[in-house]
Amino acid sequence: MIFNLDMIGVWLLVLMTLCILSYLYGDNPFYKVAEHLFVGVSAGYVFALTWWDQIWPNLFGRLFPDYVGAGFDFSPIYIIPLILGIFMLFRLVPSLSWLARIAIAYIVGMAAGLKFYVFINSNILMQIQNSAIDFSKSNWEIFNHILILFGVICALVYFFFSKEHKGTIGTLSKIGVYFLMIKFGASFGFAVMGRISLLIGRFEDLINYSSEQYNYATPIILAFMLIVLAIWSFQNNKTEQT
Amino acid sequence: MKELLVKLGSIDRRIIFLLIGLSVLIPLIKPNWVQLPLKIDNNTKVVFDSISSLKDGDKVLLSFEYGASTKPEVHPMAVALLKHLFSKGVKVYIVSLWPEGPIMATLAMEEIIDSNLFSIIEGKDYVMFDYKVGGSIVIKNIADDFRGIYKQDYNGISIDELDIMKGVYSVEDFDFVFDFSAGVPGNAEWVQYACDPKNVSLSSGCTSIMVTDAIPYVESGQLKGILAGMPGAAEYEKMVYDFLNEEVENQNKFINKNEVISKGKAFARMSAQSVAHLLMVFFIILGNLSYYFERKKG
Amino acid sequence: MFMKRQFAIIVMMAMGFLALAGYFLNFPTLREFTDKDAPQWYMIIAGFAAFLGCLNLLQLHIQKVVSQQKNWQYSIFTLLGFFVMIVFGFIYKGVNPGDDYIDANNNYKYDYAEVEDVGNEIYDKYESFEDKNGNGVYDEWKWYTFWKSAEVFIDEPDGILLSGEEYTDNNGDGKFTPEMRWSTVLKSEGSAFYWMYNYVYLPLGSTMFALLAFFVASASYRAFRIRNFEATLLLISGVLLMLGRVPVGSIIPWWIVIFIYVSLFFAIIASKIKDKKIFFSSYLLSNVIGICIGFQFKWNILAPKFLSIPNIQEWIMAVPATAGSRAIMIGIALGIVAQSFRIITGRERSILGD
Repeated sequence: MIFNLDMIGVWLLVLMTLCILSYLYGDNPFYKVAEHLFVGVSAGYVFALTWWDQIWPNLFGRLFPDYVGAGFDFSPIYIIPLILGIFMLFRLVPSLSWLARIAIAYIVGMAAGLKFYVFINSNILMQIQNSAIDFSKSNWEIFNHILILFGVICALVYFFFSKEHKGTIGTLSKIGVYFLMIKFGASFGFAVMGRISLLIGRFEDLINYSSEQYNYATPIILAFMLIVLAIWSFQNNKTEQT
Repeated sequence: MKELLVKLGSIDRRIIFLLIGLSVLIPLIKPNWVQLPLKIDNNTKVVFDSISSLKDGDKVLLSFEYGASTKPEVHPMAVALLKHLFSKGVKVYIVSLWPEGPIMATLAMEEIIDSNLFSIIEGKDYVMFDYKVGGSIVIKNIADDFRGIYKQDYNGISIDELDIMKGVYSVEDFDFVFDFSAGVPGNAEWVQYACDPKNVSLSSGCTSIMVTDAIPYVESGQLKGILAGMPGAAEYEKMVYDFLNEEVENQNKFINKNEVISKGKAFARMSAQSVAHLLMVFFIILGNLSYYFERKKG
Repeated sequence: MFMKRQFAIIVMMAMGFLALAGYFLNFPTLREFTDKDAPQWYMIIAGFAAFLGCLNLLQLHIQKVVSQQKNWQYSIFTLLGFFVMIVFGFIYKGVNPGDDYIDANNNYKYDYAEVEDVGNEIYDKYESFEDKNGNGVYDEWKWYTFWKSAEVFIDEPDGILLSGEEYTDNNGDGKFTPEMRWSTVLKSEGSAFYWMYNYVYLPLGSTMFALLAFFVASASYRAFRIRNFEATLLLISGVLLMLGRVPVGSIIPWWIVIFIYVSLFFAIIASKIKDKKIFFSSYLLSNVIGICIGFQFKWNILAPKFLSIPNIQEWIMAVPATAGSRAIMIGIALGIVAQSFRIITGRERSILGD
C-alpha cells in the first residue's frame, strides 16, 4: 500500500467529489461540509492569488520597486489607488463605509466610459452592419441573410414596449418571439451538452482513481458514504416519525 | 399502457439521476461498446483553416480563461491547438485572465512537452505570462500597450531579455489571437476591447453554454469560427490528429518523427456524450407523453 | 455631506468622461493616463474589492460561530478552509527553498563575475574567491559548499565564473537556484498551495458544476412540456441541437427526419383539424408518402442535406438562432449604452446605496 502526500490528496479528491454528488440523494451533512469547505477554500484562493499577482507587483511594485522587484519604476501617484483600495475595505466599518463609495465610483465610472464605446462599436454597429444582405452570394445564402435580417427586426420589435403589440406590430412581435424561442432552445441544448461534458470529466477521474494504483479509493469511499448515509437517513426518518 | 405513462410522469427524480449517471458511466468504462463516426461542424473547419493559414514565425496570442470546473470541455481544445500551432513553427504567447489560467496553461504545455513531438524552448518558441486581475481592462491594456502590463514573464525574467518578445508592443503585433473562455472575461471582451478596434483576427474555443451568445460574432466574422464545447474539441482534435499524421509523412521539420501522436481526450468522451443526449431526448419525449395522457385523463 | 454623496458622483462622472475621451482625444498626457495608469488603478481597486468580499465572508462566518446560529458547526469548515489557504499562500511554501547567498555589493541580486574561467574546474589566477583567512591565497576549492566557513568559488563549466558572493546550495544540484517567488509558488506543482488547489478546490468546483447535469435532466423530464407553439419550437430546436452536435446525430436515418418534419407540420395544423380520424389517417398517409418519395429519389443511398440532423442543426445555429441572439445582443447593448450614459452624466445614484 503506497502512502504519501499524493495518495492522501487523491483520497481527499475522491471524498470531495462524492460528498458533492451525495446531494443527489438529498441535502446531507457530507454535502454541507463540502459546500462550506469550498466556500472557504475559494475565498482563500482568490485572496492569495489577488495579492501576489495583482496588488504586490502592480501597486507595491511601483511604490517600492527595489524591494518588490517587479520591473516597474517608482511612481508616487500610485498612492492614490492604495488610498482608494483602503477606502474600499472601509465598507466593513459602518461609520466609515461611505468612503467605499468613492472607490466604487471610480470603478463604475471607468467601466461605464469604456463600455459606452465598445458596446456601440462591437455589439450595435458591427452587428447591424453584418445583418445586411450580400446580394453577390448564392440564392440560398441570400435567403438565409434575408431570414436573419427579418428575424432580428421582428425580435427587436418584440423588445419595443413603447407601442402596444397590436395589428402589424403584434404580428411582427409574435414572429420575433418564435425566433427567440428557437434561440432559447439552442441555448438549452448547449447547456445540456455543457453539463454532461463536465459530468463526464468527473466520472473519468472517479474511474481513474478506483484502480489498485490508488488503493481502490473510489469504491472504498463510496461504500463508506453509502453506509453512513443509510444510517443517517434511517435515524432521520425515526426522528421525523417521533 | 396509458396508466403506466401517467405514473411515469411523477417518478422519483433519484431514478432519473441514476439513469443519467449510468448513461455516462457505462460508455466510459466500456468505450468499445459505443463507437460512432464524428461529423465535423462548419465552425470547427473555419477555425482549423484559419490556423492552417498561419506561417512559420507568425505570432499567436493565446488567452486562457477557464478553470478546473470547465477543464473537461476546454482543455482538450487547448492541447490540440498548441499541437497545431507548434507543428507550423508559430511563436506562442500565453496570457491568463482567470486566476486558474496559468495552471491550465502549464498543464497544457506540460502535455505538449511530455509528448516530445516538438523541440520547443521557452523564451524562444513560446512564452507564458502571469495572471492579471481586471478582466476587460487587461484586454484593453494588451490591445494598447502590452509591455506596460507585462514587465516579466511567468518565471520572472524581464521581457527585454527574451528574444521572442522582440517587436511585440500591442495586440496589433500579433498575427492571430485565440481565446479559450468559460465565462467573463471571454471571447466577447476580446472582440470588443482588442480585436475589433485593432482589426486583429480572433477565434475562440469556449464552453457549450457560451456558444449561442457568441454566435452573432461568428456569423458577422468578428470571430473566425468557434470550437463549441466538448464536441467542438473532439472534432478539432480529430482534424489535428489527421493533419499531424499527414505532416509526419511530409517530413515536417517541426515535428519529431519517431514520437507517438495521441488522439486526445475529448474524442474518447463523445460516446458517453451521445448516449447521455439520447437518454435526455428520450426523457423529454416520455415526459411529454405522460403529460398528454394525464391531461386527457383530467 | 458633500464628501459623503456628491464627491462620489463627481468621481464617477469624471472617470466615465475620461475613459470615453481616451478613445476620441489625442492629448499625450490624457492618453498616457487613460491607456496606462487609469486601467492599472482600476485593476488594483478591483483587487481590493476581492479582499473586501473575502473579509466580509470571514466576518459573516465568525459571527455565526460566535453567536452559535443555526448550522454554525459548518462555518468552522469555511474558516478552516480559508485559513489553511492563507497559511499555504503566505507562510508555508512547501517547495524546496531557494539557495541562499550573501549579497556582497548590496545590489539585491546574485552577481556573475567578469573574469572568464578556463573551464578546468580548478581555481586559476584570475578567478574570484572570497578570502576568509585573509592570507591572500586561495586555500581550497569546490564546486559548491554547504559550509559557510569554507572558502568558496564556483566554477561553471560554461566558462562563466560566478563571483565571490558566497552561496549555500540547499537543494544540492550544484548550481545557484533562486528562491521561488510567491506568485510562482502558488501555481507550481509540489507547493502546498497547489496541493490544496488540485485535491480540494478543483474537485469541489468541478463537481458543483457537473451536478447540474442531473438537475437539467430531471427538470427536462418534469417541466419541459409542449403547452403551446412557442414551447414546441423551443423543444424541437433543443432536441435537434442535442442530437445534431454529437456523433449519434449523423447515424439517425433520413426517414426519421421525414417523420419529424411531418410531425412538426401536423403539430402546427392540429388545431385546424377537428376530426381525429381524419387527422391520424392523414398523418400516417403523409409519412408513408414521404418515405415512398425518399425511396423514389434514392435517399436511402445518399440522403440530401435537409434530411441530415447535423446539417439541420448547423442551419438552426447559423440562421434563426443567430437572428435571436443578435437581437438580444443589440437589445442588451442599447440598455448598457443608456445606463453608461446615465452614469457618465451623473444621473445614476445607485452607488450611493439609495
